[in-house]
Amino acid sequence: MWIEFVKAYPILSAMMQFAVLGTLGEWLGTAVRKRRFVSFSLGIVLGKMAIWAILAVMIKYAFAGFGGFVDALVKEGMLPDLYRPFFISFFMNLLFGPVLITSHRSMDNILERAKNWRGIKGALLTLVWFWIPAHTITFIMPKVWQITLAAVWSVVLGIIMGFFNRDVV
Amino acid sequence: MWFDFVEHYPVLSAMCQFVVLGTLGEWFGTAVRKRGFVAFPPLMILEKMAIWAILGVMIKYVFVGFEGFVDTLMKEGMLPNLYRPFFISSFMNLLFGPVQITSHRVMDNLFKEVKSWKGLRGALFTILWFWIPAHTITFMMPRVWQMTLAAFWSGMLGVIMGFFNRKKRPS
Repeated sequence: MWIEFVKAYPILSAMMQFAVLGTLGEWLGTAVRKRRFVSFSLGIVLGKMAIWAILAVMIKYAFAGFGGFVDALVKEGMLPDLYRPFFISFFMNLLFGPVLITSHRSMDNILERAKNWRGIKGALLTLVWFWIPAHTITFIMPKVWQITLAAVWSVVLGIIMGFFNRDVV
Repeated sequence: MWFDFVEHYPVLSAMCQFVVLGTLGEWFGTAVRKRGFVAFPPLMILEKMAIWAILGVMIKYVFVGFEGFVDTLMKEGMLPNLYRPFFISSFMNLLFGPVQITSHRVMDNLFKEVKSWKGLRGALFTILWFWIPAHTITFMMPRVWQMTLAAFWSGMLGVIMGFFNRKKRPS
C-alpha cells in the first residue's frame, strides 16, 4: 500500500517523508547538541515541517532530473558507463547541493526571524564528506525507497552535526 | 570541416571557442569600461585563456546534462512537455549558474593573488535577467551552434557589464 502510494503520488509522498523525518532529525540533533530533549513550540514544528515539505519538492525534482543528466552524458560518451549511482550523487550534490543548503538556511532564517549565516561554510563542506557518499548508496537502492533513505540521511546528518556542536558540560 | 570538428570533438571545440570568445569579451568589456583599448600583458591573456578553457569543459558538460535532466522530468510527467529550451536554461542557470560564477571568480582570484568578492552579488543577478533568457535562445538553436552562441553571450555580457561599470568621463 505504501509502495503504491509512493508510485502514484511521488511528490506528495516525498513531502510527507521529509516533513516527518527532516523535522525529527532537527529535534534529535538539537537533543544531542544540548545533551537533553528540548520541546519545539508548535509554531516552530509546523514551520519546520513546511520548510522540509518545500525542500522535498526540490529534492524530488533533482533526484529525477540528475538521473537523466548522467544518462545523457553517458549516451554522448562524455562519462564512462560505470558507477552511475556515484555520478548522479556527484553532479547532484555539486550543482544542486549549494542551492539546497542556502535555500534551507534562508527559510530557517525567515521562520526564526533571524539573519544567521553561521556555520554555512561547514554545511557546504558536508556535501563533499557526507552527501556524495550517502547519496551514492541512495541511488544504488530501488527507486521507490530512494526518497525514504534520503530523508533518513537528513536525520543522520542532523544527529552527526549535533555531536559536532555539542555544548560543553 | 568546422561541423565535423565540433561533432567529433565536442569538449575540445567547446574549449577552443570559449578560450577565444571569452577572453575577447573580457578585453572588449575592459575597453568599454575604461573608454579605450587596454593591452593585456601576455601572461594575463594566457591565464584568462586557461580559465575559459576550464569553464568551457564545465559548460559543455552541463549543456548536455541539463537536456537529459529536463527530458527526464518531462517523461516522468513532472514538467509540461512545452518550452523545453526555457526549462533547460532555467534549471541549468539556477543550479549550475551560481557554481560557475563562483568558480570563475575563485580562479580569477588565484591568478591575481587577490581575494576580491566585489560585485559577486551583481554577477549572481545576471543569472536572472541575462542568462536565463540568453540561453533560452541558445537551446532553440541547432546543437552544433549552441556552444558558439554560448561563448558569444559570454563576450556580450562582458561588454554589457563594461557599460555598467563605465568610468566617468574626465571633465
